[in-house]
Amino acid sequence: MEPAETRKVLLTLVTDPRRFGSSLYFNPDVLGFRLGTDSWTALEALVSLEDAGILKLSAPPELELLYQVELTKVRVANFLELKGYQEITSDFKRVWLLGRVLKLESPQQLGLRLTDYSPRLSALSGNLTKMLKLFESKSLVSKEVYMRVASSVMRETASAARDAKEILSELSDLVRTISQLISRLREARSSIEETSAKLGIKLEENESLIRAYRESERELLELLGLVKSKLLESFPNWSAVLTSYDKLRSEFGATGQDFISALETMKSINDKFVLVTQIG
Amino acid sequence: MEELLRRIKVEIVGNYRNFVPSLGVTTDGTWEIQILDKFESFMGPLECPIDREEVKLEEAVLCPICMTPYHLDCARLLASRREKCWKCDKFERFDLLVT
Repeated sequence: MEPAETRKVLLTLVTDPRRFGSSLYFNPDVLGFRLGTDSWTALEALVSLEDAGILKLSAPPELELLYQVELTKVRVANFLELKGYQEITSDFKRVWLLGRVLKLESPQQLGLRLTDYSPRLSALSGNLTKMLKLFESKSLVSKEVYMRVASSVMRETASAARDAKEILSELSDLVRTISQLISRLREARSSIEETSAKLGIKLEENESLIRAYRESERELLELLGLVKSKLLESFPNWSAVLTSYDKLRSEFGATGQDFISALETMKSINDKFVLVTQIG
Repeated sequence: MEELLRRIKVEIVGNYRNFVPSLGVTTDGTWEIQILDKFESFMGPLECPIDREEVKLEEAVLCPICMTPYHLDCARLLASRREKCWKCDKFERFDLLVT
């Protein structure tokens, strides 16, 4: 930060009439206005001053959950390319700043993007469809022919499963994170509501937190739905494969570990889709 | 997300006064340091110069010249007697602040 800018921030802080003792709560509108910047640039300036040992920034622990939600939203936006590069970078920077205030380590990278790996998912989808069709025609062809075709399909599927391993693992991690966050948001919200009901009072601070939790939950559910629909575009026979999960696993188990783990990962992703939607 | 920022607490922990002149502030800096002097008095508990008791910032009546805090009753006393601020001895229209 430029020295003149530092001086300006310090003067703004120490002359803030809302300051009580040596501390004040960050007010994005006021501080941003007084510094002539947007609120995120103002927060960035404060973070620099914390690095210089002049300020100490802290936030209540309940903000950590909302930080995780914001981080996941940015990850999903990157994964599905919902926004342009600039916008995602700027969102990520904001989340990173929040992480700095909470003293949490933000990830260095945002992860993979679905479109880059779409052909690999489509290839796996195609091979698994071939397996399903082959299984259906088992009684119609001789064992010899069946085994010859099966070994070829299994070889191709093993290779496709290996190629899709990375993106399936990323997808699984993203979906697991979303579903865990939704559960945590629901628990946190009901805990506050329960306490408020027991005490018989509603505090504005708690109410605003409940609103933020509810809004975050709604956004995450929407994102989960979006992840599913985008996934189905690259993996059109997703549901058919999972319906025949046991069949595929027992009949073509010899395909190898990559195939088995791809199926298991797909099942675990699907379970999260179903579980979250059912509870919601 | 901006709503979340309101929950961030900012504490001044370092010696910012040393930091300001070290940035090479000279002419304008003099003014800035004076301002800091005034506001630095708010870092600890505020004290009313009349009864020497603590004043809460939100309840204080501040002398508009030197920013010395007074209890409302003490400021009323100054207003009724047309006395000047006990600290700077310059401002005497406390009646304008307490009515």
